[in-house]
Amino acid sequence: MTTERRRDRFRVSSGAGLGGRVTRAVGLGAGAALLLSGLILDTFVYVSLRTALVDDLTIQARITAESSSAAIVFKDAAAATQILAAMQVSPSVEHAELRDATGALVAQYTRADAIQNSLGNPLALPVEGHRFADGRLHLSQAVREAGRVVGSLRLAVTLDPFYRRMLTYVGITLVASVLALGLGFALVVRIRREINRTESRLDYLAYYDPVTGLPNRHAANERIQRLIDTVGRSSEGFALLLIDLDDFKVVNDTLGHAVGDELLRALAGRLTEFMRPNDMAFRFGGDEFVILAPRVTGEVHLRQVGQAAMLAFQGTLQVGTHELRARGSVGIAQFPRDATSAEALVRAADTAMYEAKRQGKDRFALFDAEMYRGATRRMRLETDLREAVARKELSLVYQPILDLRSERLCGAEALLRWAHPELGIVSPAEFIPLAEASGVIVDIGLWVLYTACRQMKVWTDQGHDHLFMAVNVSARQIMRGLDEQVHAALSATGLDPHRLEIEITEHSMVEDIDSNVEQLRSLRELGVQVAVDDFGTGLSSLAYLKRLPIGKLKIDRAFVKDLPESEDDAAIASAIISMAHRLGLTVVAEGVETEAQRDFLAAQGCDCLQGFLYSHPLLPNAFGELLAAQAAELSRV
Amino acid sequence: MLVVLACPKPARAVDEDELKAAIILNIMTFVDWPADASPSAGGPWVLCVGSRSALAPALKALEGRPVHSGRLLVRDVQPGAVTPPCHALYVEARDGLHAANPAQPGSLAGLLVISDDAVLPSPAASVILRAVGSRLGFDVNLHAAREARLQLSSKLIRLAKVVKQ
Repeated sequence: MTTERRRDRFRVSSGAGLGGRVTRAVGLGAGAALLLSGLILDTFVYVSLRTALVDDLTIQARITAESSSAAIVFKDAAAATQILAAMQVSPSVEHAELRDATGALVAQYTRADAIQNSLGNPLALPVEGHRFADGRLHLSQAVREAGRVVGSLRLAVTLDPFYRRMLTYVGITLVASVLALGLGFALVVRIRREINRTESRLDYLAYYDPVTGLPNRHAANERIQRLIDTVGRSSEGFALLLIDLDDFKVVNDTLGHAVGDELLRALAGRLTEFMRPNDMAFRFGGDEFVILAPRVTGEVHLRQVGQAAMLAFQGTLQVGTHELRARGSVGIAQFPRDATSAEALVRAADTAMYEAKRQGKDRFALFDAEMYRGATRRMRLETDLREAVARKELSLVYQPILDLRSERLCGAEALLRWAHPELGIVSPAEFIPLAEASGVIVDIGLWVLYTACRQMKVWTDQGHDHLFMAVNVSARQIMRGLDEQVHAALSATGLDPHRLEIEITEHSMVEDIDSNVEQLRSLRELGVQVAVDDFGTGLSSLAYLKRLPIGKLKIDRAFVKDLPESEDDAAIASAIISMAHRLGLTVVAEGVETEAQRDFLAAQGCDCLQGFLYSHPLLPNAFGELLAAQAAELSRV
Repeated sequence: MLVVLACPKPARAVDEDELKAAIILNIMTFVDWPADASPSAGGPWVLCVGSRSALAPALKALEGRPVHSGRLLVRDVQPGAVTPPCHALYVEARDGLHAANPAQPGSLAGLLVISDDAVLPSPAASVILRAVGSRLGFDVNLHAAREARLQLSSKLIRLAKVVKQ
């Protein structure tokens, strides 16, 4: 199994692990402790046995001395010999002798097997006392009668039995120690096995993702670093593919996390299926995968790898009872071409992946430096955009809208401009999508609504009461309750609702259409006009169009651009105009630049137009002047 | 029990009398007298011997030697008269000192009689010396000792050749 094969690559060797060190430490510690306790015990036994030996022998000597006093006094050698003969029962007594007060020998006894000449000199002993010498205990005991010392008893006792006994004790200690050590060792081995298992488990948890069974981000980072180190020494590069599932959140939110996990697992299987044998797949994050493809150089090769990765997203995946079609965007970066560090390489692939998403998802993109600059710029713009309203960097310009029949100015479309303090004028085409993505569009849209209303109120008050102000709103604004925002803006500025036109796109209406229609209807009841912007580029669904409470359509500039030469565009434009009129809608053409375009549209019955032919978007003052000029012209007529 | 009294390695030739005298002195140390017959504290222990006894000089030579808590005092006695304060009396067959006086048993109380006559010892003798070849031993008569209210040490009894009950 592919995943199994890959598992082994990240296993930390268990032999040199904690378990081994614990075993050795415990073994050594236990051995030392046993040795020490054995030594202490045996020393204690040695001292005890010696003391006991001396005590026993002293008592025996005293008894013998007591009973031999008369024999010494009467110099009864036979009786003395007989008393000493009792020593035979004590096998360790090698020699015994009785002497009178003058030191003259009265009787003696020597064990048959004793080595006579090694007995030492008993006279070296005091009258009473003992000493250890020549492997024997020499003991002297005074013989007393009626309080007077009448002689002495001297004994020489072999220590062989004592030593044998000591040896037995030491032997027992050793055997017990070895047994204990053996038992302890067996126990430690068992514990060590447990530790090894735990270590392996921890290892697995540290390097593998439990959901997909693939190595995790941690493992990926290590592997990338290892590849970089290897590649650094050779000329071969490798590719890093960062795969991000498109709209995975929707799966999680609608079908639940269990299905989401199942989908990830199935996709992991797919990815490994289409990989080359040396490629490695990792689960990099929530819905992100990484594939490392060694020995990939050149753009052609990189594209092949990208196409192979996209194969994983072909067809459907059976996830439980659901049949799902997963989509993904893949960013591809190559080492060392695109980055020279692991971190930068991942960042490059990430940038490429976002570019793929920006280009419409479900595709792959190769990293190039321009992309990175673009991403950096986008990130900066997105950050700065949050402050743009407060810093008063945003402004509105107004593009005149002309009534084709009367050739008079009938309205203005409010268009947003951003003067970035460092980057200069930023195109709305660049920053509006960023504002949409980050949600700042809601604040900005509100600002636009208020500003446009306020401006329109000024012009109305100046007597230009035949105009309308067209304001674009985004889907997010509608979701936040457009009718309330418009109500608030109108009442705050005092603008007549009939002077306001809200422009929506077909896209912004798709989500929660019922609620949106309701909002628009309430606006229309108020007198606010509603127009559909960029008509013809989206769904262009007649069913939607029928449901929407709108009064106007704006033909997208794409269909106007090639008029009247393009027969297709001409057909579309006239069809839209004709259809709109039948539905009772007014039609505005955008992007009219030539007189031929104007003439064609006029011939088709188009109601209004806007474009460079008539005027560029104007600053409020310029627009005011235009209004004044027109009013003056009219008054002359 | 075989009792052999002999010095296996005498430093000098010991006269038999001296040996016998030493034995008599040692015997006295292994006998306990009744309290009423003991000398007062520090008082002499009196050993009576027939004035004609050949052993008298040897015994005299031992005078002053320690016996129990006191010292030995040797006193000559004439035949037919045994009078206290003798603690011990040494009698020989030839000296005619027959201490045995059946008519006056009470007079023997507290008196240790040591006889040299192994053939026909006085019935009052508690200890009877006897020669076995060149060696010298003794018998004990426990009956006589009881009569005299004397306590013979078990060590002494053990060394005796014959113990008469």
